[in-house]
Order: sequence, then structure tokens, then C-alpha cells
Amino acid sequence: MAKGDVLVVAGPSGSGKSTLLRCINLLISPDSGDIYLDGVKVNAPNIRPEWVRQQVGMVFQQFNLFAHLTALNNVTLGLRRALKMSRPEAEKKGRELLTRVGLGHKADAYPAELSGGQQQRVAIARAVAMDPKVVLFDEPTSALDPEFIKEVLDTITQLARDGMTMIVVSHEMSFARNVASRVVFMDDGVVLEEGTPEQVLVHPTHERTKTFVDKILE
Amino acid sequence: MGMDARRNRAASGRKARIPRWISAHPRSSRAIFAISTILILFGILGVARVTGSIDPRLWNLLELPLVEGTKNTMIFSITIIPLGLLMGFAVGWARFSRHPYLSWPATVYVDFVRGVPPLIMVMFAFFWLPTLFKGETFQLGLAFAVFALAVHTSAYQAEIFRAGFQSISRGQIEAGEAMGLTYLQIMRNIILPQTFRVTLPALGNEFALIIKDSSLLAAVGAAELVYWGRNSAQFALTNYGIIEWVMITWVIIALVYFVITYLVTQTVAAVEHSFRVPGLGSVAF
Repeated sequence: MAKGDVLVVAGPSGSGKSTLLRCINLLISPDSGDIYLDGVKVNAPNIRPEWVRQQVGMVFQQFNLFAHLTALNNVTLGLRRALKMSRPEAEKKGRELLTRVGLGHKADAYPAELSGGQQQRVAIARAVAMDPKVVLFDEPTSALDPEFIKEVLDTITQLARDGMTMIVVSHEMSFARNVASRVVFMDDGVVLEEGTPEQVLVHPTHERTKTFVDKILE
Repeated sequence: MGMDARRNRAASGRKARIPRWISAHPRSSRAIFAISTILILFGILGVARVTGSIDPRLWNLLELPLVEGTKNTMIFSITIIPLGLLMGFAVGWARFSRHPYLSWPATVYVDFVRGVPPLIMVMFAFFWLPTLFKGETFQLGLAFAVFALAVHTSAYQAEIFRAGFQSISRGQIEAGEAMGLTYLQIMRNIILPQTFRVTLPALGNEFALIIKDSSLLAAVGAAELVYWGRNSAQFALTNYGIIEWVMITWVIIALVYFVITYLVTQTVAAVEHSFRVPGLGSVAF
């Protein structure tokens, strides 16, 4: 992947999309194959996983905000603890990011006081706060009520336009068509098809991709 | 009328019967009510003593339980509670651990301690453990007996802590890992602050139990409330033959237990209140 690329990964459940993301930030160690970040092989014994993870942001399906912290503290925790930033500095950056995802006014709200869409936007701000080289999105809209999907997709789209490199596991086909620079279709742990959104989603060559795309678009 | 509407009406009807001075400030007014009732009771006792309307013999019966008994019960409680908390936390953490060399012994410890009556543990600690040391004394045996009660409560607290640890979603821990925090940073910044809030009510409950369980120490001659109560009751019966005085003695002792327990549980509730976070709730006291 090049800097600024947006890779969308699609495929039926159990096809290994989440596992792929978790291998990239070493939450799971890959059984085979290597992962390179900025030309450095990261699944190597001399590399601290914490060091890799500080450079790879992650947004989860279930948001996974820290329930005891305000939106602002959710965003600044990594800055202060992992990057050892001072509190005023971290909070300044945190507030900027919350404003960027449209939640500047919710800085002092706790996760339980936010809607699903708002929680996910805080989670995006939290992932971006560490200035990662790449952000991984694991089905960021699958757990959301339909009414909140758009605001989250808009936030991710804006982030992509700002030049953030990202890998997005998603079944949102219109999002993939509009934002992705490349689309990958996975099944059973294997990449079946890869190419531009046009190639994979509109003119799929593989039978399995065809049926999947048809089902999704129904 | 739907079920919901009926239930709502029932609920609001019940609410309306709660006096305003309680419903406005439920926790503080309940505390004020309980404490002032107790103070009035002891006040009457004090006035009766000064005016001489209490038989001085009854006063003498009450003096040792009230002074020595209360003092010692409090000393035992404030020794057992932190000690049990420390051990319970360590065992609970071990039980939560994915490492079988930690979780297995912790599980055996909890299962064993929960299955043994605390009275037997106290006796065993008092009579047998000191024989392993030179110069066995009453003090040493008593220290072991106090320790036995700390072990007793630690098994229950370990389970409270384990439940607290497990209540934190795997996803939050994963989110902490994903942002590059180390295990200790995740423990310190994500798991512990939430465990602390979630476990407080259950811990307060356990504190209340162990304060009253400290009366088991009377069985090995520790001079706490029940010990002095039994002394005075026996004295009242054999020397004066007045059964009312026996009753009065035990009622007063029960009240002292109540005051100590109430102070502790209200303190825990106040701490809980000041750390409250929306959505991380536990049952309100």
C-alpha cells in the first residue's frame, strides 16, 4: 500500500478480514507471511509490538471506548501514556480532533451519554490522535443503528480526503466505490480478487465475488 | 390500559408515599436519621447515668463492653479489612490471570477457604499455629486468629475482584493494546479504575459482614464486644438475677455493631458516589 491509499476489504463473515487487521497490528501473530510497515518487517522478534501499535490506529466494530473516561480522555489516554505527552498538550490535540469529528461540544461526555454514531466518531478521533501511519477499521458501521451510519462514513470519508492511509473492512458498497483506491475480496482466509472498486464490485471475474456482490446489493 | 401504564402508575403511587425529606436527599437524610436515633439512645443513657436514674450496678455491667469491647472490635475490624482487601485483591488478580500457575492455586485457595467455617479457622489459628513458634503467647495466637479472619474474608473478596476484572469487556483491553499500551499501563489505566468502581458496593457488603464476624474472636478469648457482653450477661444473671439487664446489655452491643457497620458502609457509599461515572453503574445503596 502507498501513503494515502484507502483499501477496502470485503467478504463473507469468517473469511479472515478481522484476522487480517489484527495481524497487522500484531494483536494476533501471523501463522505465515510477513508484514511490513514503512519498509520495516514488524512481525520480527526484535520488534516490540507496542512500538508497532503506536503507529497503527484501530477502530472497532463495537467502538470499545473506555467506559470510565470522558470522550476527551478517551482520545488523550494513548497520547499521555504511550507517547508520554503532557496533559495540556494532549488535551489541546484531543479537543482539536474531537472538533474535527464534529464532537467538540461532547468532550466531557462519558461513552454512555453518547449515541452509537457519536461513540464511533470518538473512537475514530482516538485512533487518529496518535498520528498513525495507517488506520485499520474493523467493520466500523456494522454495530450501528441505520440512522447513525452516514455520520460515521462521512467522518471516515473526510479522513480519507485529508490523506490518511487506511484499511477498511466494510460491506458498505457505496462507500467502497466512492472512497476506496483499491478493493480486496476475501473468502476462507484467501484474497480471491483485488483491484479498483470498478473492477471488483462492478465487473467481478470470480464466481464467489459475483454472488457476494449481488447479495449485498439486493 | 397497557401493562406499562399500569406499572408506571403503581410505581409513581409508591413514590408518592415517600416523605419529601427522604425523597429529596435519600442518602444523606437516611444517614442523619440513623445516626441521630443512635445518638439519642446513647444520650438518654448518658443523661440517666448523670442523674443517677440508672442503677449504678447496670452501669458497671455496661461499661466494659462499651469502652473496651468497642475499642477492640474496632481495632480488629480495621486490621482485618485492609489485610483481607490486600489478599483478596491479589488472589482475585491471580484468579483472573490467564496463567494456570497463578489461576489454579488461587482457585484452590478460594474453594478451600469458602468451604471451611470461619470459627474453625479461628480456633485452628489460635491453638495450633503458635505451637510452631518458640515462646507461644496469647498475643501471638490472637494475631494468627485475626489473620485467619482476614483469610476468610479475602476468599470472598477475591471472587468480588475476579468478577470486577471480568466485567471489563475484552474489547476495551484490545483497544488499549491496539494503541500501544503495555500490560501494566492497561491494568493501571483501564482495568483497575473500572474494577474499583464496579466492586465497591460488593466490597462494602463484605466489610459489613467481616465487622460482625470479628465476634468469632470471642471464642478464643479476645476481649471484643461479644466477649464482654457474655461476661456482663453472666455476671448479671449469677449475681443479680435480673434478666432484663441481660437483654439491655445485648441490645446495647447490637447497637454498637450497627453504628460501626453503618459508618463503614456509608463511607464506602460516599466514595462510590464521588467516583460515579454515567453508565458504569452498580446498584445504588
